[in-house]
Amino acid sequence: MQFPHPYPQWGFKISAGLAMVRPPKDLLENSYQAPLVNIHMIFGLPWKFSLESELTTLIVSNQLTLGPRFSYLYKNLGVKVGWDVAFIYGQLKQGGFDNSLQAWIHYPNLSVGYKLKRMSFTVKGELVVVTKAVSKSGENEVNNSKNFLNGCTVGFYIEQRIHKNKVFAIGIKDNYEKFYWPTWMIYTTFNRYYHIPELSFSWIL
Amino acid sequence: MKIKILYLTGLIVFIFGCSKDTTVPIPSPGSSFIKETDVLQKESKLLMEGVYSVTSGSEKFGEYIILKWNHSGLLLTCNNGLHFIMQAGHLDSVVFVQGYWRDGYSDATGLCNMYISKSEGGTTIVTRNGAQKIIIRGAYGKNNGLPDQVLTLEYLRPFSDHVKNSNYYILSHRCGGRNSDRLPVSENSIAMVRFTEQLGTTGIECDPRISSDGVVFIYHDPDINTRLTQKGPLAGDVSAYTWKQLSTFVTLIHGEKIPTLEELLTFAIDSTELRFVYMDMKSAEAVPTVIPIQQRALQHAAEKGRDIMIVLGIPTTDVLNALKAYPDYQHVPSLCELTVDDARAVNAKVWAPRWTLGTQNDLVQEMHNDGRLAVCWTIDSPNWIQNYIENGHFDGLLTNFPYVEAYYHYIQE
Repeated sequence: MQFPHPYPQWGFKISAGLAMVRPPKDLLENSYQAPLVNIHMIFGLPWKFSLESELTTLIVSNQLTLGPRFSYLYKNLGVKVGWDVAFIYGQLKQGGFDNSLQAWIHYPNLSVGYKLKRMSFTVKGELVVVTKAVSKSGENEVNNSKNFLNGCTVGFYIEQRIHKNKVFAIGIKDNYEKFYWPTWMIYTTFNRYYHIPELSFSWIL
Repeated sequence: MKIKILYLTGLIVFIFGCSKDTTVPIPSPGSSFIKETDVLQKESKLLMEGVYSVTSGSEKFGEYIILKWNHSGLLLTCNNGLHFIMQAGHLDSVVFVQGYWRDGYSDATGLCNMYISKSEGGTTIVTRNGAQKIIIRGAYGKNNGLPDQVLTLEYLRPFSDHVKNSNYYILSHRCGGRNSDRLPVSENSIAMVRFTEQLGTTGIECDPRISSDGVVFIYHDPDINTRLTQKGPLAGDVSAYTWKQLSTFVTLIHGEKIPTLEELLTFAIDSTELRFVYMDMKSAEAVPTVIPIQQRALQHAAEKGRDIMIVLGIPTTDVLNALKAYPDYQHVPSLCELTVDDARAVNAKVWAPRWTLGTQNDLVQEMHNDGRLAVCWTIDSPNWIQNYIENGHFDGLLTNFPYVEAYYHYIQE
């Protein structure tokens, strides 16, 4: 799913996985740990284009992305460029809270990969541009941010064929960001960048 | 084998990807010129206090700056989290102001050197005579670099009578600031109580817990962790240890020891000008032990003629019930974070709702009519601090950014 190569026209692939995240102590003081559940889909289009969509959820924080890709494969080396648009929705109504978030984020991205017979290695980079983020507590608008460069991410992924056509993937991603959407509910006021590591595992089904 | 390599690679990258939290270092000018100057008299300091317009440097620091003296020095604060922690003194009739600026919401900081010449207010300040026309000139820099960006402040007006006559509390979280604010001292430490007055704080919130042998100490989290402490031999539930174990083996993140509640209150009374201590009870079990300590501290404050409120915080119904089980509980000065009815039931001196519930001016007025104060917690966004000060009727706000609250409080007309 991560290795860049043209997908068969009208072909469809799906993967499911988990991502473990360790937010910095500045953002989450207590060590709450919960995995992000991720579903990743690719739909092949003509002329080496494809459409990718990802749903990532933590129940109280959810992100749905959709974006086109163009992939090119030369021998064992693949390159993929794309642009994802994400809608983030979060709601926390437990424990006396009445908080919510709606945000739009753009992810222009570039992936470069190299494949062996049964394994592939991919590096993916993306910019993170927040075009709108509105958080509320009850009816109070706590934050309303527009159009800022939120940071970038760099991920390294290894995909390996384990059994027949089943592929297992492991990835490590560094989110270098000011606003990390899964932690929206803490309403951070800090204006500083953090390295937020993310370790992911997924099965390509 | 390949799978092992795959896992190992992932693990190594993950571990090395973790970032270490840092402290924003206080910029150092190398030598402090202020030590060679003469101390300003109290009346001179009062002449300097007020609202200044920023005539050079407004693109960074905004249109206005508040200048307010405190127990340790001089605070200049802006509307956007930028603030200056300064010292001042005079040589002849020239007033020198030296220190550093910091952005509380990021890690930006730098040195700042300023002066008031004889003809631009220096003589008036030093002799306490003449027209109060003050121009502060100088420059600010970045980190330890030489200050090279011009900053000029012109005295606009004194604080309004509304501000001077109000009994408003600028309350700071965790004895004055959190570790995540990257201050040079640890949260919930004596050093923080000393430091926080420089940020404009006039009252503090602290977090009492009780050790396994009944000593009340100040510590926020339920466990011993590297967010609050340096690595040491103890781990797990902090209240499971005796005070001797905690005081011997636990060192706070910037090298201080965990204070007992008694030490903290004594320091606040004897060595600061703080007017409010809000003990945010982390354990209902500690309530019967905390109350006698509170009573002794209030007695000590009365003997020293200190006007300081020390209130037992009630954040949960467990703590409320523990207070109600205490003999003569209605005479225990308390702060209730629950409903106004709960506040009345224990005769709380202060009602303290969560800020996200709104300004609740009607309920605040009810509390005032009862002779109680109302403060709210914990409000950090500059826009909301401004909104609550301008449109709310609270007697104080608890915040992690006291300099922002100080700006919006002191600039009121």
